[in-house]
Amino acid sequence: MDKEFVPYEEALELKHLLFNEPCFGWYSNMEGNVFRQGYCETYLGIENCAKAPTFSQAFRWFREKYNLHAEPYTANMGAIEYCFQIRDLYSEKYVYDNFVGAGASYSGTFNTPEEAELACLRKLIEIVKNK
Amino acid sequence: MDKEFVPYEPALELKELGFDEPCFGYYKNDHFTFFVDMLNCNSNSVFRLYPTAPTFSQAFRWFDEVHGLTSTIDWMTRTQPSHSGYIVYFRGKNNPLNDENFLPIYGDTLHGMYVFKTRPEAELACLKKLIEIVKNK
Repeated sequence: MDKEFVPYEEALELKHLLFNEPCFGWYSNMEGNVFRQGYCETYLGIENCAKAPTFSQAFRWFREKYNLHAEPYTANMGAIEYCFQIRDLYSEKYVYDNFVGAGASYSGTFNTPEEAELACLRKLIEIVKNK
Repeated sequence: MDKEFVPYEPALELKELGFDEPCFGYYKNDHFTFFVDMLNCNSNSVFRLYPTAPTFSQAFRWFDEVHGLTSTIDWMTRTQPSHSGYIVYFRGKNNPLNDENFLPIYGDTLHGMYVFKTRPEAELACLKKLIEIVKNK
């Protein structure tokens, strides 16, 4: 199940962006950023402790709060490769597409969906921070 | 958080297909219950008796890893805004699903792909189609 959860660094960034949804667990920095199941409001007031959303929860939050739709997708480049796009649902226009190029000279793909998800989340955080 | 979880009927079908991953909860008599100790739920006897309740993300990841089926929920913008919405398509990682290795959920109009108005609708349809593809293998 650990693939489901946003890593500690990104969870902390989300906390700084005021992400405050119910989560299945949280990160305690007092034990080396260990994932803890459940909810502990006492420690979440401590700097560097953070709720641990799943990627799905985080993407849903960006969609509902910022109208930014994360679109991890696959490209068939001989073998399946993973990429992502981010769309502004209000304008319906892409604000970012990780896949660049065409034919034999392309870039921005990943070998696993997990890598694409993490890169997508980092980009969403960057976009919102720069607003 | 309930939007995250696969409903009871598809959860039951996933169990029948052999889904056996640790989950955050399970269904007992159609009712969702959180595992108290989800990190150790593999050894929990309850896990063996009742269908577990994966999140949509867990289910999609399982189809990707176990069955080599990738799924994408994308947005399609159409000329008429009321026709825009979410589309769903699949690719096979190891074996192409068709000549183009691109299998969308089709609609019943001349426009081809079915357009879902909300993401939850698209997610559920995506899951049901994955279950159907595996059952028909």
